[in-house]
Amino acid sequence: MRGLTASLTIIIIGILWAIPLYVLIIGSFKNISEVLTTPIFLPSERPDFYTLLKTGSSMTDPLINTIIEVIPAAFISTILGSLSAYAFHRFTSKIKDIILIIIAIATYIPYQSIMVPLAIFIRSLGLYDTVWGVLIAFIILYIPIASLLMTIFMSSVPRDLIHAAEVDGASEFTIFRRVVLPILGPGFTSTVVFLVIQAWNNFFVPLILVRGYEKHVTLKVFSYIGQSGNLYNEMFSAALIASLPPLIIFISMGRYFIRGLLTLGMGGR
Amino acid sequence: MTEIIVENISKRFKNFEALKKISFKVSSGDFFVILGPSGSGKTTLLRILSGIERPDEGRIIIDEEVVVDVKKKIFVPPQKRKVGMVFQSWALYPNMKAYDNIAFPLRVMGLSKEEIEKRVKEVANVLGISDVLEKYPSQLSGGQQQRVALARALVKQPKLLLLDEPFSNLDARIRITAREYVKKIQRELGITTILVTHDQADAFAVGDKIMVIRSGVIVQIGTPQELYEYPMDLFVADFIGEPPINIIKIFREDPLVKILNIDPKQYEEDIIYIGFRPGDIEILRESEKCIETFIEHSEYQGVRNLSIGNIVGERRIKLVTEKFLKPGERICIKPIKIHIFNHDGRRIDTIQSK
Repeated sequence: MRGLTASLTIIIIGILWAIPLYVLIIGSFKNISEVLTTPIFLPSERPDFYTLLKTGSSMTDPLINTIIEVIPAAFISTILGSLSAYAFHRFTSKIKDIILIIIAIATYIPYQSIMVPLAIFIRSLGLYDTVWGVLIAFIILYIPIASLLMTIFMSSVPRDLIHAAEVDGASEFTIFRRVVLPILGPGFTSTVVFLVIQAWNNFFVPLILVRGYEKHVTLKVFSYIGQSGNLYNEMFSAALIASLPPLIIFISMGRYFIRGLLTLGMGGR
Repeated sequence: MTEIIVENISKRFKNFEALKKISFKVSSGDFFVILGPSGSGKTTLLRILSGIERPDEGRIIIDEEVVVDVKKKIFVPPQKRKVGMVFQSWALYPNMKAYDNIAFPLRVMGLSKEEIEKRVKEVANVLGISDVLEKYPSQLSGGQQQRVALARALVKQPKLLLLDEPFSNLDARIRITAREYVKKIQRELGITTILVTHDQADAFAVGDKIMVIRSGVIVQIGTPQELYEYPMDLFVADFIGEPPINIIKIFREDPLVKILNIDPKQYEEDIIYIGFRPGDIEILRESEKCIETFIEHSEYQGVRNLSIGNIVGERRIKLVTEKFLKPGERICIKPIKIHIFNHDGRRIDTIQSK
């Protein structure tokens, strides 16, 4: 009986989640006349790939730009985050506690509230309206959360291992690279995946830091919202294409991602 | 050849004083055991020797090189101390095969591939783990993991070998063989070794010298025989020996005063403690000068049999005898060797009869 209730609950929640996805997918396969005449929940009678191909070709540049911004940003933030997490793990002092608190605050502050100074900073670097500006902004925004996540993962690294490496004569950098980082593998991967998805879906940061619609997929999707009525088949096609890369990353890395989350759930053990 | 000198080492953790002015010396080639109950500061001391922990006070000299001198602000990091250490948890790198674990210290030193291979194979051969080098630590048994950890500590030919409770994660049988080979290898290599343990059997099995420590203070340093035969105080007497020593509190009007001919008065004390080992007794026929004992419980163990007896004043004593004593039997015993401790537990006399 309890098993049945649980299954039913899961099915209902699953359906609720699937509805928008369903609408998105069937919408992408409608042509212009169907969009205007058929109800939004009804699938097309003659699926039409033209819209998907048309938006797909115009999505190439935004996709490449987004990859250039997102992948390095996620990696660099996570590497810097794990370096700081290692430093926290190694050294105990009052300053460490203060820095950790600052990081926690930085993580929970809504990033919109620091966008103006960040935009001024990016402009002063001469990187306004470039993918590099967005890339640097992402790194700055994601370092705190990366540090925090990696600090939690770091607590699963036995201190004895680090001490053993020290006695074995390894330098701090060697200890980090040869002993700590391999053990952190799943945690590192899940942090990277998390940040890739976060940055990929981010709309506000590119909106402020670049002109036009070509430098981030979310902007491109947004560009299909017309001022006088929406052609939702094109918008849905664009959204479908835009959401595929993070989906692929999540599915291929999901195993590590979940293992990492489990580590978090067990208090980093 | 390495001599270790430790002078006035102190260490505090917040409100807890882990070590209080510890000083001792380890002669070159000695197997030195630090023995103490948990929380006595023994592991902290080992970590200070390895350089993982910094003392608040004191000086350490390893092979004529000052590695720590708090006053002169000298601190040699663990990387440069030329010590090898085996951790209680073994601390094997889980992402590396046994071979790479052992090779790690040599790779860090920047030795050539051939040299590394030669030395790893050599030490693996000595420790009998040549056939598990291609396995990961998780695929090894406890005993093999320990040997790999020992190999990793020995491969760089350290001046000083530190062992932190190396036998506590092994089951009873392997433990005995492990003690044997650790001792054998230590003797063959002639390497100065410091081992930390809470188990007196470990200490007796391998130690040339044993230092007993309690609450951060050295209680006694000596050979196993010295500690067993002439314990400095009740703590050492009780801590060493299996089954433990019998301790009996004696007050001035105690009936035992007459029987044993030991009187607190002669030591100018109101109470004293006497201690005798369960095996240091004679069983007599009826006689005036013996302690009448009612056997309450006994265990047949073969060569040495253990019994629990009840003596005057409802006090329980342990006896180890060749003859198996049946429960319910009444016997008369006489301790052959009696240690006498004053009211605060210091040994003030030892009486040996004939």
